[in-house]
Amino acid sequence: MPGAGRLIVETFESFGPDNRLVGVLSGASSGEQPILVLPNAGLVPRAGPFRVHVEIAQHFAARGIRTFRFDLPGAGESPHLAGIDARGATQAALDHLAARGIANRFVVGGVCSAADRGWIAAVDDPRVVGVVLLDGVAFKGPWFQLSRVASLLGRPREWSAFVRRRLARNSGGEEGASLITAAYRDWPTRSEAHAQLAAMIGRNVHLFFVYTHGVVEYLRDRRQLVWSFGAGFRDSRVTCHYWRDCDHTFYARFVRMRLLGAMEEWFVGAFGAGKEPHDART
Amino acid sequence: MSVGFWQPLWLGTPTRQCYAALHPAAGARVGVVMAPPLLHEQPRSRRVLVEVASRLNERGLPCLRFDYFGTGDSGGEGERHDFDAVHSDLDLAVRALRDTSGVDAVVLMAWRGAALPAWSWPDARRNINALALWEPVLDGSTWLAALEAVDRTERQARYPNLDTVQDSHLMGFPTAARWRADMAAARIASPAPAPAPAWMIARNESDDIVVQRRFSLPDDAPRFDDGIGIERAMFLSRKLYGVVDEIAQACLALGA
Repeated sequence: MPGAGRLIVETFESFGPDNRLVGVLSGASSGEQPILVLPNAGLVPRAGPFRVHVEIAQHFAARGIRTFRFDLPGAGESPHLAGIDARGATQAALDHLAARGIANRFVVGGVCSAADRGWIAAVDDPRVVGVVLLDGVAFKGPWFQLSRVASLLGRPREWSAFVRRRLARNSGGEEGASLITAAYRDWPTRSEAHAQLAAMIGRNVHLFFVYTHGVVEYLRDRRQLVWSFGAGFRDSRVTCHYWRDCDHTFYARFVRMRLLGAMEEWFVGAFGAGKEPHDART
Repeated sequence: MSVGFWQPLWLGTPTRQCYAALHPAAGARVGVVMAPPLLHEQPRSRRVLVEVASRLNERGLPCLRFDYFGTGDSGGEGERHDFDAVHSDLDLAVRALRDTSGVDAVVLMAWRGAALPAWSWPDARRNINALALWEPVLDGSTWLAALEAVDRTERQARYPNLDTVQDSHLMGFPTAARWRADMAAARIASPAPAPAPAWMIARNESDDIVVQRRFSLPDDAPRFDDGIGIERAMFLSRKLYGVVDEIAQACLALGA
């Protein structure tokens, strides 16, 4: 893996209430370049699903790009803290990195709920210049339904099961499913998403979307995305990959390598590479 | 249970750096080093280890948690993780606890698969005063075969349209050929002597190995061995706190 085997400088940063939140800062200082900030994906510790945050840190450090991965309150090693939630903790991380002179521009995001954190941080904070959304927000809409019906037409054995599910949904089943999704995710409404993306584009925020087969329950067709986000989704500052052969948490090596390569290409294209570190090897 | 104060630190050298977290306790004579489970069970168990360490710490025991080189927040790649590397990491962790806390006695609490490299650690008797095995994997070969079967199922479920996805990963993590060979050859069984006085912490009574002391886990203790998901490994019950308190008493008795 590119970046592996090199000497990577990593230090701890404590922040938040009583400095009880801890993160790992990777890579050497590289001037004005933004830093990639990676909160937890759900309950997975800050090393990331199958350690992908560490692999990103190693990979990016080799290109002179800094990363900061940390545990949100109640996740990984962090205590639950009164008065601060995931949104506040993400903001506290950015404030800390800025106050320490580590960075004053940020790219925030990650897998699943970490993508939600990135989106919200970009809405909240003008210092956020990039968002990484790996299986982030999207809305179903007509293209989703069309795709699902088209898929079903090719599988007549499943028609009766489909009819049963539709009947169950009409009696409240779909609302139940939506509530489950809502409990785990922190999404804007579709109209809010349109306005928020337009505002981000207006202030030159770059966005990196990846959707995998792991979110087939809400994304089945690329055309859903313009419907979800509006015309802003066609802007050159939006990069989107739809990897139907990939799973939600990037289990196998080939999907993680693909992710690392695509993220690096996007980051360097949007913000430029940092200063290459010394070629010391472990 | 709450998460108590702890401080992060790096063990080793910049070129071979292991992540660690110290739950400090002033004036203690006994401390605990926690060797986490292996592969997918390591992140799944993270929260439970933090909370168990916090509870032991409340009872006056300094605890040091760490990630093996090439795993978790430590440096390096997973391919460099094998039993010899784990033994080096155990050396580092025990020395760090002694140096930072000034303890005379150390209990190594090895969780699940970590029990196997802990059992074969050549320096165990010299470095630790007791080896506490938390639901240990007793037969590496059987465990490895079970993981390979689960891994095949995971791959078929995640990549149904690909005939084969070949890589060195197991349960989502890189594994070196040496690691697999070490694991396949590892076994904990009597009459082989324990490398140090051994304690068994398990939910089932088992006479598979001779141990000095047994602690019985409640049925609702978190499990780390039932797939990839993390939710079922997160929660500690009141009954489990009681068991951890018993373990704390046994640890403290070593310094009496």
